[in-house]
Amino acid sequence: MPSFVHRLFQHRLAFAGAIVLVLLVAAALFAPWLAPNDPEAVYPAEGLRGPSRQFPLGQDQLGRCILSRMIYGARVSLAVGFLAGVLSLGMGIILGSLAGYFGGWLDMLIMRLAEVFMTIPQFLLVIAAVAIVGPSFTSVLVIIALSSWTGYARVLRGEIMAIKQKPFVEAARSYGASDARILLRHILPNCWSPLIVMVTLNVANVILLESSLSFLGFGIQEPQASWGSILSQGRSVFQTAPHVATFPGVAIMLAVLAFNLLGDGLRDALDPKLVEGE
Amino acid sequence: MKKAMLLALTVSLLLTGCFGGAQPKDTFVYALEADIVNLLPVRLTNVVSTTVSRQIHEPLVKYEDTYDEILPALATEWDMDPSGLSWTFKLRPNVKWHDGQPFTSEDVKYTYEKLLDPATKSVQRANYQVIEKIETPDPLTVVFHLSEPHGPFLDKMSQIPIMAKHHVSVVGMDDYNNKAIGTGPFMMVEWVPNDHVKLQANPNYWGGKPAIETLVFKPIPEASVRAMALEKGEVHYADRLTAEDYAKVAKSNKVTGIEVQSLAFAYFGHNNRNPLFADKRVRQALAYAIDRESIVRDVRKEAAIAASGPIAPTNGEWFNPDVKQYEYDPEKAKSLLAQAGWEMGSDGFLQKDGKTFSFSVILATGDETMRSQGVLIQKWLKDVGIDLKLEFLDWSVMNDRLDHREYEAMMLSMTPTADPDQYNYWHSTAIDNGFNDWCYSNAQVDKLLEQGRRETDPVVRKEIYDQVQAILAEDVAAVFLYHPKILGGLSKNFTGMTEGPVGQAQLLYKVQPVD
Repeated sequence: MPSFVHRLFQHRLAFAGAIVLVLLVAAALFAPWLAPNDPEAVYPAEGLRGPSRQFPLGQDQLGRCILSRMIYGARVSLAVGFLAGVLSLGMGIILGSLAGYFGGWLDMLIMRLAEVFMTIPQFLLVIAAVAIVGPSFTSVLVIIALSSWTGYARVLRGEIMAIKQKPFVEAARSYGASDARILLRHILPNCWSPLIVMVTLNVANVILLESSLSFLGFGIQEPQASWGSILSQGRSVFQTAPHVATFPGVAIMLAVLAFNLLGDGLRDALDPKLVEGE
Repeated sequence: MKKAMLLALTVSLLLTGCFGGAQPKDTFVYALEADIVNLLPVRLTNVVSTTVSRQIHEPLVKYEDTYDEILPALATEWDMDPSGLSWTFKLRPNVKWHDGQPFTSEDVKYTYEKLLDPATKSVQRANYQVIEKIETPDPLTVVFHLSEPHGPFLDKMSQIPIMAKHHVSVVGMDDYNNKAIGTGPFMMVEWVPNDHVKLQANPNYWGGKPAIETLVFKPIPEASVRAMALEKGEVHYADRLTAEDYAKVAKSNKVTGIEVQSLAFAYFGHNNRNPLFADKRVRQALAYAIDRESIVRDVRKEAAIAASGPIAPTNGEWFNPDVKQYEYDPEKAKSLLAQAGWEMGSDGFLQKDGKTFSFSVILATGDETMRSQGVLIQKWLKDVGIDLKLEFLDWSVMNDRLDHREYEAMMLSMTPTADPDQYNYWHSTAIDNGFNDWCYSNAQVDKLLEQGRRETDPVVRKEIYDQVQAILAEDVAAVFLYHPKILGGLSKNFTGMTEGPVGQAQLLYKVQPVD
């Protein structure tokens, strides 16, 4: 483990990504202390003013502080990203290990289900579902999670199918260990590295998805803000007040980039070939 | 021969490739907010389709630069029988349809009979049921017989363009757009859905051939994209711009800004059927709690007039200034709510019988002005203890909810015509068969609206509609917010745009290229 952390930190870009993420998480956690203004306070007479001392990143159409809204928006974007990531990982682990370990008709059923999900473009699926149940933080979160477990399940199934043939699993079975014990104690601990890489990439994808949804008006609703909704608000005034769209756009880009860099670094750090090479 | 043709084709393709961007000087491109739906005169439902259809088809009479005066179009003279029960129209002689056939009184009769035929499913039908019989004593005379006198009749005659009997009776009323034939200044060339509508000047137009040869309508839903296309010269006219874009566009040396005060009224409409709003004091509290002056100033950037009712102050005589006014006064709102039995709870929201004062308003997604308005109103209502939720809906969903009257409140605007006959908005029967989206029902208003329609003396009508406006304001049938200005821009390469009150389609036959 220490060597893995060491390798990760040697990967400069991944390290940079990690730092950006730590900062974003800190911003989200300490939002009430960090935000210079109340994110929902309106100053309608001061609409669309550029950056000033009181409003470091300027004001939106209603004079609300863009920086404060972005800091609170980080909570939404990151919370949806992490929670949907973890939820879909959980679903993927359960369904993937059932399919991989038991095989047979159960495998057949789960994998066909996954394929059905994968044939529908995820974004379309999510928009359709949100349109039906109505946009809110929870619905967006659950729907995104429900639509992104397939990748985990497939990867895990493949891993498990390979590992369950290995002699140590045979040994465990010959000692009379139960299926649950074999799966949880012997097989799963050997599968986590590809999953961790997938989670980081998936979280980036989810953040992007949530931003796109909010951009289209299907995500987080007023007066709450997410980066995507501020961006969408700025779209109509992009020519006259570019600051409204630019800052949340940069934030989305940075967050997604950071997760991707970290994911890249993790993949290299966890690569068994590199481990053996040391 | 084949080779020569191929060569010619290739060369012409290459040439279009080179010069595709440049348009001939007599081509005028008009940006629409959405694609057209139906151009058939008896099935017009929205402003966009009407704008296009009115270039092709013409009504009997029309408004042009103002709403004060009705001008001749296909009819040159008209006369009301002293009993008010019949109207005679003399038609313009020597008018030809685009296919060369003569225009006659039979076409007028056919159009209105189709409009009244329930099988046509026209949303306008309810407004014309006063017509009992149509006679055509000769090819240039039409007589409308009414079941009772009808004050707004002439105004109604300006709303329905006439269609060609010999043509529509053959091609049918479905899929009409590409087959449209009228008497108007422009002729249909093609409609490519979601891309453009192309019209061509009618060389035989009775008013003279228009100066622009080709008229193209392009749907561009996003306001900021319309503004950009206007600045870049890709379109020559665009409207419904945001205040910010308008300020920028109007300053540019390629565009002339056009501001038109419309007769539309924007409102915050509570559903009057909902028991939450049954108490008049509660409705009045809503009106006092909302700062319309701030919306006009900060959201519309002064491109609007604050409203006290559904008739705009710019609508000449018909506007009644002596109605109850609701100046922004949150304290008054609070005391009215307290009188109505609402008490402040510990969470900062009002309570009554264990229930919190909470409701949601539906509004269309994608419109920044609406979004800003919504957030402000949410905040103002919170200040007096009301929890308002904003429910942004896609247009298709929104329309569906409106049709079924499924909402606690909604925020939109309506565009009435110049005549004050707003029967179709405020009469209780219009809840089910009309545009009474507020589900407003008041026996006294019903009676006045019925009287106002029957009456033909403008002085008496004025008194009746003054009363209607006073009751609507006192009752807070809806919280009237403002009458918007339509902000648009015309390319400096053209002049002569009729800056008529919008809602009524703009007539483009007077537009001319500048040398």
